[in-house]
Amino acid sequence: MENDSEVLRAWVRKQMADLDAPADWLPEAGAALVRFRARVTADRRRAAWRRWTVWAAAAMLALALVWLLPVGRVTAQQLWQLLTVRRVTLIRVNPWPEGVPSPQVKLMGTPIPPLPARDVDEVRLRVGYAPRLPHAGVLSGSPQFLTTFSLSAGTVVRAADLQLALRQAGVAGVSVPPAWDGAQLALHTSAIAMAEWPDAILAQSLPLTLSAPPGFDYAAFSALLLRVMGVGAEDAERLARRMGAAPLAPITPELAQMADIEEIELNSGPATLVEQRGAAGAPARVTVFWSVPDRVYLLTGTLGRDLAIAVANAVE
Amino acid sequence: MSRKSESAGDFDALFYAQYPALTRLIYRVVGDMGWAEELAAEAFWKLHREPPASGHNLAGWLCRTGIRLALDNLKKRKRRAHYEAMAAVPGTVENPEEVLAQRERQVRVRRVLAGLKPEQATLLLLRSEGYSLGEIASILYLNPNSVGTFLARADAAFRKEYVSRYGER
Repeated sequence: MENDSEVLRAWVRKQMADLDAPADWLPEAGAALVRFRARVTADRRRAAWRRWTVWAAAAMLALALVWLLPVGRVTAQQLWQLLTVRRVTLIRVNPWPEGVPSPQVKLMGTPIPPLPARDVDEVRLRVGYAPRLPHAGVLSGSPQFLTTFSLSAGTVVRAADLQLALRQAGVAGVSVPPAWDGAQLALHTSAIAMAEWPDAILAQSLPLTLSAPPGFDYAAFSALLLRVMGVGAEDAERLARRMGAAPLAPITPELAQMADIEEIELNSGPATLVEQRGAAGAPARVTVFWSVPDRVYLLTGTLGRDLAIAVANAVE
Repeated sequence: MSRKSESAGDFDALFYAQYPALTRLIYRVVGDMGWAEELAAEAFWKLHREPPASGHNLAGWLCRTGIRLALDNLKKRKRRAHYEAMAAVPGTVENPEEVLAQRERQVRVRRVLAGLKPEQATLLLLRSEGYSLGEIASILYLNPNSVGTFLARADAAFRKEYVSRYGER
């Protein structure tokens, strides 16, 4: 029995010996470690970039929320009125009055890291709409697809703070309706589809949706905020009436110092371009935010201003 | 080695210490140097991304992970045949007939290994790579006194799988 076992072991050893690696082959750990470190660095950069895109979308959402300007329709029968936001317009304003609490916009939940998707079909299945991409030739290579869940940001109106802000800003003869106090405003994206190239990410959502208590007067609310930020009475009323369902993105002096922000004209209409200067030697990050009737886009990357505009114009 | 506490120095030292042996071990399964290096790096990548909670016996963890990756790849990848055809034949073979015969034997053994339970394949691979019974026990979290028994069972399973595929030779 023992002998049988030894014979079997010897036979198996003989078979396995055919798999021996060349005796003089010593895998080079140093070179492999260099490649490994490069992979770690690339992965960190990619992960940071994805997080940046989600946070940029969330930040844009939060920014838009405070500055919602009027819309005509109010569906009083609904517990919450839902409005579609199709456009964001830049306006330069003064800082919020010092010492007065400014409206606090908070993300609802924490953005989760985007999940990779195999292809456009899988993206479509997850987000419920067909993602649009720049036409071939504008960016080289095929993108990697990712998706993430919807994002929401909200704020609660504090009537007393607004009243104090008006007083501090020297605005007389305007009072905050007591009914506004405690009103909850929230802005929502749909599920977000992302396409990632080596130096750019295109994120898109169905149009943003605003939810607010029935009967909430956006025109008056938005005009009041503009007054606090130094916009004259007539201009504030005019902007509030003109903007329809589009929010204003306020450019305060502090914000203007952090980045170059401008309104540009794409083939599909106006867009917001933000150029953040990179650290010494690092390329500037360019972000373009624009919308069409059925989609909101955010393109971000280190691809340069001109190429970013070309890519935005090429999305179809 | 949790991700937070992992220092680059510790990781690099582990890489230098384990990468060559792990790559040679994986080579037994895939039969291609480049592919073996790729899979060894993949095992380290898994360690880097999702380190085991305990942080102990990382060399053993790497061996188990590397062999599992190699066996999975061997079963899945269509380019197996390509690699087998391309693989250099080590050893002292002298002529084309002998090269061909050795290549056929390698293919057979790898297919048999892929047909075994992963634990049994791992035992045979570690022994054939020269690991001691104590080292095998440590890598696979086995009682050192039981390793011989497990190896005997793995030998028998190998023989049975081989004969069922290729008959008595």
